[in-house]
Amino acid sequence: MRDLLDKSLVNLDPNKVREFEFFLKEYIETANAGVDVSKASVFYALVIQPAAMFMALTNQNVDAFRRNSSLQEVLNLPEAADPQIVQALLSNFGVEYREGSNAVGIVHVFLVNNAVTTIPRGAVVTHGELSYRTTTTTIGVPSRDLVSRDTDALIQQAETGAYYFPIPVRAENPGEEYLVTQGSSMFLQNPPTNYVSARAAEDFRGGEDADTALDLVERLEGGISGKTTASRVHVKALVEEQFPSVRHGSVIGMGHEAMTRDRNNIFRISYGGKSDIYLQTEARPLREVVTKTAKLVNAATNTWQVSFSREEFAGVYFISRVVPKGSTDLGSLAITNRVPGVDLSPIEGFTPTFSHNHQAAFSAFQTFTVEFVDTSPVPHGSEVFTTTREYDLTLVVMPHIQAIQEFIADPWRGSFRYDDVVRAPIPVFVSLNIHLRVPPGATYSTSAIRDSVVRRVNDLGFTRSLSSSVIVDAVHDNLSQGASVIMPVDMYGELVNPDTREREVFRSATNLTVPERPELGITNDTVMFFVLPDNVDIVVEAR
Amino acid sequence: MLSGTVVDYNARKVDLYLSPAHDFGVPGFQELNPSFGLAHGGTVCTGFVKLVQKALMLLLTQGRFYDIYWGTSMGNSLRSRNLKQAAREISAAFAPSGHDVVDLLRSEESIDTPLDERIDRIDLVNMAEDPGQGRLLVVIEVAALSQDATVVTLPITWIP
Repeated sequence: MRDLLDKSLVNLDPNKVREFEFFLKEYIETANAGVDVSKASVFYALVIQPAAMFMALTNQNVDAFRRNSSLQEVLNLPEAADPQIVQALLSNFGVEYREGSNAVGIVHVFLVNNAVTTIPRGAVVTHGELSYRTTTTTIGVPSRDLVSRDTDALIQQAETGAYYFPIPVRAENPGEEYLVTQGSSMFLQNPPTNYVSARAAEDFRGGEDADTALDLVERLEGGISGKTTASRVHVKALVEEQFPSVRHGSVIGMGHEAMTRDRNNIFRISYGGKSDIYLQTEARPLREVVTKTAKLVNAATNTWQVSFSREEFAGVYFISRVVPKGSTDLGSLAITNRVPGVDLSPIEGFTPTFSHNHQAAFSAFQTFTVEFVDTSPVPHGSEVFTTTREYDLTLVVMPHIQAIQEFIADPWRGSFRYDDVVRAPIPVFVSLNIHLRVPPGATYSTSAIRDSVVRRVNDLGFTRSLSSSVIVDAVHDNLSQGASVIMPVDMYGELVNPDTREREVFRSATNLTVPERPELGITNDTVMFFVLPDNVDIVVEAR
Repeated sequence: MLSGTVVDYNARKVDLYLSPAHDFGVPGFQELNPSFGLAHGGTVCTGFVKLVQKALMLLLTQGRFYDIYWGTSMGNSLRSRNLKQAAREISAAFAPSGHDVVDLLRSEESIDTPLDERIDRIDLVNMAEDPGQGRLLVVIEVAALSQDATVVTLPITWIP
């Protein structure tokens, strides 16, 4: 166990020390009338003063320990509590301290030619002030037959003609700020001679801040709750043990207006036994790039089709971008058709009841087919449903949904009385336009402001209403005196409709509210706002 | 000869006697021992000897961090060489410190404090400015009618 005691005399309360001095002086004088213990005496300087200081120190330690060991005291003022002692105290309730984790991700290194290129292990890659290191030595090789080890990566050619290969990187320090988004430009220090640029291939994941005493206290409720699927608190406690990145959970069951699965009967009345478990499993949805083979479905309109199985599409919100494989062009091919589906084969022996597609939206049971138009000419002799082409599709996904569904459906853990479906929250993706007025000469950091806003909104939990005051407050945490936010703050929200998977747009300068539609499961208990860092626009005006 | 001695403590409050911080005529202990180490275990003192000891401790020891008004900064100033050991600077620094010593000691006096334990003055009377081997001569005088006084030698490193 770590040493929790304060050994320094620097933080002593002078009044406490004087109290002890006075006490000792009186005590010795009473017992030994002939001893001079006045101030400036040797007795005073060599005996009473040091004794008083150490008595005060011991007393302070005992007092701190007593205060921090009381759950009541800690809950009253968690910020003031000693994190180590709180950690020890809350471990009694099954709440474990988390050290924080380092973000990991894949970076594409772009090259001018297709030559064998080595990026050594530990090479530094930066994004602004954030620093990452490669986790393995990666050797980019020009042809597939040269790939002989796991660390060999095939150099591929992008549409632009540039060559690239992926390298795995890990943040140097734990923390959420290291979660860069897909497409962020990175900088490789000490690059190879044929280096052009580097870019995040996907959204980084895993980066978490270390717990503070406050975080631990917030998790106490989960620690002392039963690990079951009964209520929000319980389900979060159950899932959090296995999936510590889970932020918020909501359970919809019998009697809830959004619970439509238990009304699949001719009387349209609830008969219970069903629950939908909505989980925010990461700080924010991630973008993942998958390469899929598309089939030509209409040669006249150049329409191609890609289908996703439920394993590939678990927890996915939408497809944000479709480009020919390896293309680094901005934008996306036009998506013309979206066909959501449901795969009802059992998971861990469990088959849920669905009567509509939207009931399986963003769960581990959804499947998806997408059609898009690629105007580049179709090769001569192409045949519908036979000709294929490879495309990179960027999925916006709440991860771990399938793993959590399997975890909950596991007969050992799951309740036989319930039909529990795990779903990602119904998302509203928010873009923000923030105008700041900053006095000349004042320092500010747009990246810190952006980080702060992103964290605040993504941590709001389940709600269908986002007030601009939340954003202004988060901005102000990073502004010096005299700086201000020019109101109104333009908030632009895109709700992903669980039925059609089309995006519906809402806009407000004061309170971005999504109308309640319980028949589609859109309620206060199921909707969540997400902001991705590249969707926060900050304009600064110095005045 | 000093009227208060290390053994004359009948019916008085006694203090521990530190190794001589000044010349009490004890051979081999002519100079100040800045660490105030205990020399003769268990020896006690009273009277003028005790007074001189207190005055020196106050003069040369800064108060504890929680009681910054007790003691003087003289010792720290000498050791830190802030004074650059110029005669004028030392005497200028000594003046308020000497004053403080008298005030602080008087603040601890009570009605039953014997006359030969009451301070009258502490002054810097001379300085020996030999390079590297400077000495301050400080006079400490008792308030009693006997007018007992002693000159204490404080060795310092003198930077010419």
